[in-house]
Amino acid sequence: MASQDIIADLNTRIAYLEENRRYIQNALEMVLSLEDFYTEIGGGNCSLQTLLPEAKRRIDAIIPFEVLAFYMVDEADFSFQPTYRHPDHLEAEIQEEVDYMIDEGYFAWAIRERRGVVISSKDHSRQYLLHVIANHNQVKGMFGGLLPSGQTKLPDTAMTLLSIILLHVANASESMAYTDLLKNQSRILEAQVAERTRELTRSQKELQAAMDQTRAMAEAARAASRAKGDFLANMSHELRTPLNGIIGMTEVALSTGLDANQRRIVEIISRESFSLLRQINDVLDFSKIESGKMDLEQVEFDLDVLMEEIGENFALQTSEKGVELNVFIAPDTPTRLEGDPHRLRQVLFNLTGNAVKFTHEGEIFIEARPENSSDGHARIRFSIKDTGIGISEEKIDQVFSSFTQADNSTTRQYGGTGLGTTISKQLVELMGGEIGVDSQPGKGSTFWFTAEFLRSSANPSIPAKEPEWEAGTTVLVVDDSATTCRVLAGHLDRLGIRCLTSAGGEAALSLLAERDPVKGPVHAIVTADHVSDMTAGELKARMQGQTAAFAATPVVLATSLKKMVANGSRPAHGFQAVVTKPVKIGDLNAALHRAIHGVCAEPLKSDLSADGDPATARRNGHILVTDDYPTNQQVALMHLTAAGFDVDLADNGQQAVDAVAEKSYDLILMDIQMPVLNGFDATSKIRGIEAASGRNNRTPIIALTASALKGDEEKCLAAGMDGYLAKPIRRQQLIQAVDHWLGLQKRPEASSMPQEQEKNAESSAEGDGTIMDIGTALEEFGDAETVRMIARQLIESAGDQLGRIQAFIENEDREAIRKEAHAIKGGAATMEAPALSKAAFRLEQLSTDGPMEELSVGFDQLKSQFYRFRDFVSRWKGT
Amino acid sequence: MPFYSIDQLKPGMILAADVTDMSGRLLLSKGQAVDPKHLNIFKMWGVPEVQVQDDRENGSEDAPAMDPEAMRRTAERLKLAFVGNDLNHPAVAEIFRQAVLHRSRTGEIQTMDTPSATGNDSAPSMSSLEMRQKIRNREIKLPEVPSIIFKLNDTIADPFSSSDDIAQVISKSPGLAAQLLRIVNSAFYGFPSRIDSISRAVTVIGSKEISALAAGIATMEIFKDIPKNVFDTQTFTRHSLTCGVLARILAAGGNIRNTEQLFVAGLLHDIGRMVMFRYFPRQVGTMLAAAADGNACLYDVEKRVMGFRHTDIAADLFEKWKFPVALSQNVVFHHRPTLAQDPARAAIIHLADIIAHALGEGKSGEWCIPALDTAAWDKLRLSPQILATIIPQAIHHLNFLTTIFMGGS
Repeated sequence: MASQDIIADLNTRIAYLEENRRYIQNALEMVLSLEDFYTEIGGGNCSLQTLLPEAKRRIDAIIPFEVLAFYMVDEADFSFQPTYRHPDHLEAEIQEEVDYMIDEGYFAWAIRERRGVVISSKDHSRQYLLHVIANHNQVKGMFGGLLPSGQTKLPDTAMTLLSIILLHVANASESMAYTDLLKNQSRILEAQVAERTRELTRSQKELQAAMDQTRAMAEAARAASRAKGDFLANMSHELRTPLNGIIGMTEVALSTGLDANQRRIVEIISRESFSLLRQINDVLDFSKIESGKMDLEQVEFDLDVLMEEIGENFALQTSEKGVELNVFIAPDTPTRLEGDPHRLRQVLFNLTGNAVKFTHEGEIFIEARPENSSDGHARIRFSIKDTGIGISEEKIDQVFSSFTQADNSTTRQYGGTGLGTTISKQLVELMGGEIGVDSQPGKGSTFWFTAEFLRSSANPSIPAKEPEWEAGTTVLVVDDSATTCRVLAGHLDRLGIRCLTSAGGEAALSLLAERDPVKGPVHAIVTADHVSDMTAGELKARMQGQTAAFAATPVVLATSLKKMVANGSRPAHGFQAVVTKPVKIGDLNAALHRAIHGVCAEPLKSDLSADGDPATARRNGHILVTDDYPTNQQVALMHLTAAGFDVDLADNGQQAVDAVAEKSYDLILMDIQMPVLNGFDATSKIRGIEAASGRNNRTPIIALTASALKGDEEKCLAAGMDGYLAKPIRRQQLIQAVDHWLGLQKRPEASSMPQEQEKNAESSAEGDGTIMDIGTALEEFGDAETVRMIARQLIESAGDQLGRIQAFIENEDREAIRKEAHAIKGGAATMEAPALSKAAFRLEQLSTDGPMEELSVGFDQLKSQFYRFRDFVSRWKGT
Repeated sequence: MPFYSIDQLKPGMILAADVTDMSGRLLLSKGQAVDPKHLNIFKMWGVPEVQVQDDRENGSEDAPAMDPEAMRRTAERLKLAFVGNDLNHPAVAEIFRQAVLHRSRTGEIQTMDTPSATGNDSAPSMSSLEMRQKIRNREIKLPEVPSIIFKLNDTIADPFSSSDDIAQVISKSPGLAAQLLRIVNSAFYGFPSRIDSISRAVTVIGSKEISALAAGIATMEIFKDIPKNVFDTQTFTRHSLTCGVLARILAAGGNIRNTEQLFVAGLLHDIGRMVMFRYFPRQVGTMLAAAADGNACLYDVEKRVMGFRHTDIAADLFEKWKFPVALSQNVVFHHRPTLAQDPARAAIIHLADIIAHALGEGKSGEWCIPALDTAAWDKLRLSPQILATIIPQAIHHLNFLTTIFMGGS
């Protein structure tokens, strides 16, 4: 029946469908299990050798291939290599079939078709299935399987399943390759990282080592610097102490009995010791600055005063050499400053000293001018210009560098450490300035430097304009040095006085001749004592003779110190006033006052006798003053030259002897306590020379003794001396004694003098704490400037002495202490500085047998008195 | 440099060019000497022929040296056609380059499709509005499915059908069978040995594949009769074939299975146009005129003029004739491949169409090069370099296949 057929048909279909469904379900589950491929790969131990059998297992479930083979692509040459074949024993046969397929092109065909293709076997008896193993990226290999006998094709579902499995094989194979690649990359990266880490660690270690080393080096440098600083501090003390000892002892030795040879030797030792001391001071200064231990003071000071001091200090030396010295401060220069005046003085001293050392003719000009200044600050430029020997071009660079003078021969010739300019440079730089030199050999040098200071608000000691002079006051300056004219003109300008200059006597005279005495009066003339064509005296005479109108014009003489000393005939006579060069503005002012207004109408220093000798009393004579203490020398020199005598100086007994050997003197003043050769020995020597030379006249030798004891008179007489004067030396007594011994006056009571002196000495010892008896000092020395000059000399000497006493105290050298204190006492007394003298006297007393602690106390007191004195002098305006 | 087939290769010959497999994998590089191992490898991978250096040659047997000036002119003109494309895109750039080379080599100059002036002379039978309406509703009757196609599709769809059934169906049409056999025996298919029967073909190539191929060929045959004054069938067929060949090769190179279906899809991609040409000649004339001379793309114009696109008509046809859905999808979405069910496959047709247009092999009425859908390109994961190998291959097969197709009529 038709419906039965239909039903049967349907049943068949249903059965087929059900079977199909079951089949498909199984297949789907199998596909799901393909997941395992990847878990294997994840484990990391997977290889094709493990993967392919797994694939075969699943393929077996679909189609029971009798023979199957997997050929995978070798990435090296892209050939298909047999990777897994089953069964093993049929490998050769399989390969044979495969080769046939490749040859015929079925392999390539299968690749192209990208699906399972059925190929007849070589002998056409069986069918093979070829299926490419590929994913979307690449062909990975080829699968081949022998279909069961009789079967010529695969059902679609089977084919699809096979495709799925082989797709998974392809993906798994790719995954494996990637995993391997990743592992390799990872390994390489790890190696690289390890290497980098090693390098970094190495670098880091090196860096650390370098830093440690740097730290150590810095620490070592610091320690070295500290050590150097400490060393310096110690050196300072260590070096000076024995050196002072040497110096002191050398002096002691010289005061003992030595034969001529020994004396010479010890003198050399002494000289060298002083030289060494200077060297050491220089070196220590230099080191101090270099190691930054030099501190600058910040005190108020007056530039005017400081510059004038410099001039004064070198007045004697320059006048002796015949070199014109001028000191000038430009008008706008601020003079009340704050800074370190000691260091400034040191630099100026050094540079001026060099100028003086190396200049034998012409002039030296020290100038200060402002470079720029603001309200609070001033930058000053100092220059020291000389007409000396100059410095050659090659040597100029070395001038400021350490340890060289321009020329080694100059060192030998001129002496010095060569450090002076270097230290000056360092100091200048500390003061915020620069230093330099311009020079031409044979023509001269100009040393210059700048320095920064603060401006002090105090009033200048020398006011810019003194409204003392009437408008129209006119002064004529006559000097053949243009610089001096300029400087004097500057002074006059500051004083508000009109200035005319002329370079020579004839020029001055003609100028005067041309002037109308009514309309253009000249109120005074300031002249050098020797202008190019005539002396000052001649000029004065001619002036008075030539023009009646100018006959009464006062003339001020601006003389050099040396000339003042050397000019035996008419020092200050005929002149209304005298000033010494370098001319200070204060001196000039006072002199002009005196000359024009008649204050102190009689000329200065011409009357030295309290007895009222006529002003014109002239004195003549050649006197030799022998004293090792500079102050004493200065004092005697001042007094005697003012009196009109020619004075020579000797620093010690030996020099006196040498001087006597060369020259004959009318009188010799001889200190007793001197180094090299003391007064007694020198006297006997001199007597010896006199006897030997057969000179008839016996030069009177007057002892200058500090200790006025009875027994000393006999000693002096016994030594061959004729008399003595007690120190401190008073002008009056000195002149009287000199006059006497030169036969000019009645002989005063010699014996009374020491008592007076003693009393005076006592009174000064008992005196109150007056720092300085100004009135008496002025009387003694005539004017403030002289007083100041001598006082400064004393300060300098005493300062050194105090240093030595310090060392002596440490060594407990009482004798040395006594001697020094004694000398200071004398010097202070001369200066009319009772407090200082008293303190020195007390120390002198203590030194013999006082306990050491008291000695130190006494020394401290002496020091403080000294400081008081020093401060007083530096502040004293001399009014 | 001469080409040697693998059989002719002797060890020791020096390669004049790189040897790659179908997907572009470098097997052996230029300048290397061939040794026996390499010969085997070439066979494994199915390298058909290699270029070998031959010292004896003095002149080059290459294509004649191209005139740079001519190339420049070609490039200029072609640029206009590429106006919808971004020439900076690497794929587009490569297509452009290959197109210029190919056109210069073949001396073909793409002329703009001149509209047939005759298209407009007969007065419309319906008012244009009515016509529009009808067209809009697509009330035009599409031809009935020819029985052979019906049977083929039926067989394909039937799970119980066997390869013999298919072979039988095909064999009923001797002309079709002959064409089919010629195709499967061509180098295009590259089967190592001769396939002498449809059933053998079915075995070797596969039943689905053979039936798809048969359906495609038969369909093309139906719409062959386009009036000459409307469009040139020959040139249209050539374009369709180019697209199909390119599609198949692209699929193979992209490791896509079942390349037959893509070949058929490529073949039938513009079937909708064929329907239009056949059944709406007047409107076609208007369309072509509107699109002419660089005014607009036909793809846009046809929508304006007809109310629908050629892909819409194709969809209707495939549905009526019960073609496999997959095939339908590939054809319908060949302009917008990302919308297809299987975007990758649709993208193949899309790309093949573009290349076919660029190369200027045959005409479809569309003068502008369709814009490359870059998303689709990315999906294919092809490298632009592959185009340089595919295009020569396609051209190589194209000529032979054309004779089969044309000759069979």
